[in-house]
Amino acid sequence: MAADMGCSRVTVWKSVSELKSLGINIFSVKKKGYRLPKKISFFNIENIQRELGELNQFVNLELLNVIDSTNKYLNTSANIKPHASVVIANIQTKGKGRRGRSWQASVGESLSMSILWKFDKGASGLSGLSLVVGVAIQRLMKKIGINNSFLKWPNDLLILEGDAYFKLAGVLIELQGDLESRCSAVIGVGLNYDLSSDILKNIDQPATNIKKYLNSDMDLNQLSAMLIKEIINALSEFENNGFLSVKEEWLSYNAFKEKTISFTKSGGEIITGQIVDIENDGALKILQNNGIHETLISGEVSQQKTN
Amino acid sequence: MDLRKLKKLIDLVEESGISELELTEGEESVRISRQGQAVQQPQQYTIPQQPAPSIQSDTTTPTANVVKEDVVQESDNALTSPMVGTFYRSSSPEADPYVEVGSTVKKGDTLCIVEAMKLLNEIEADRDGTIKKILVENAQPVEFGEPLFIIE
Repeated sequence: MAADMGCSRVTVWKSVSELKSLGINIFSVKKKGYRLPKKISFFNIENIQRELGELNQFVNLELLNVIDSTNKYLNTSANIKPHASVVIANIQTKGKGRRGRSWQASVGESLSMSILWKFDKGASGLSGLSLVVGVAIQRLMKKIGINNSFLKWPNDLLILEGDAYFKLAGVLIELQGDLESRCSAVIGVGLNYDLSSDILKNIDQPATNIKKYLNSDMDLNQLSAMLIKEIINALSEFENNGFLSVKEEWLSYNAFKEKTISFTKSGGEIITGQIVDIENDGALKILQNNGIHETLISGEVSQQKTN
Repeated sequence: MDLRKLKKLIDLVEESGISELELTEGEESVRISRQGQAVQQPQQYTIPQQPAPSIQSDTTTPTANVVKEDVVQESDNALTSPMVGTFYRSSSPEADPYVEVGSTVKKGDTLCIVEAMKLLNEIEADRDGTIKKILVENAQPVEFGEPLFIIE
């Protein structure tokens, strides 16, 4: 291998170590060299653009090879990037989840994408945005024939199998800018495509891959383009009509309809009850087991275990 | 707490649309509520013979006049929340807080996160200065327009 590349064996070893540190699985084969367990499919910007069609005029698409976090990348360059900038990374080394949790991704096996959207209104006018992005992802699922996906408030995408839920996609939105009149949102979306069982096991909750549920051999380029379309359509809709126009749709996708859930508040307190409604700003309305209604804006929903 | 400061606070509550604001400063505490008539409930409210400790530390000659100016300035220097949500002082439960009382900050430095429905808002300092006060506890709910920090 070293001879083919015209460099020393140490150089090859160093490069391989570097790739391993980026999460690429490479086996060493004794006396032979190195081997990939399977072919890596990198994103192809032309394929995505072709799939985007007319929307290409509107979207500023950028493909990065290695980045710490696509959200961070757009956050730090929000001022100089145009509206509707979309960034996809082949390798994301420090994907972000809620409250500093990490997001697991792997090259060729998942989508790490962020979209920059510049709003003409302040942050207080954007409540509901989170749920709108969830609805956009769920619309894509319906389009590609996945019928057992649901939303967990505010926007986690879950797959229901039997009576168990598995996480398929997650969203994290960061706001910045002039928060009273104009502000930018960086919308980060992570989607599991074909993660190895080792990575799935590392995720702090049961998780699954979309590939398992696809009828066609749709690749990540196609899926990404379709997802960009759905999200951009939903964002335009949200700009014009607000959250109210998708509220009923969100409720129809609610994963825990008529089921008992636990809600962990940001301070750690846990309440138990049923989701009865979504407020017009996207807040979650719960009827607690003790008969008291509560409206919640931050915290974690989880399914109450039934024994 | 002098009348000018109270007036400022009442105006702030009026403008922001929040229903209630409670402030504790040293041994004094005041609550302004918009439900029904504006009610002020100074629990141990006396004309300040002594300035509040935080002000004292900054004032070498704590005379009544100096205090008055500082106090008025203070409410001007409040950084308020741009949205309803939960106030977080750090990026994750394990991480150190972005700032402490006494931290020197530059305009644009992140001071906290306000989160609602997985929408994160990193609140930045709007000017250079020192964090004089942190008005909200970590992981507590905040209203739109609620003062979060005093920067001087």
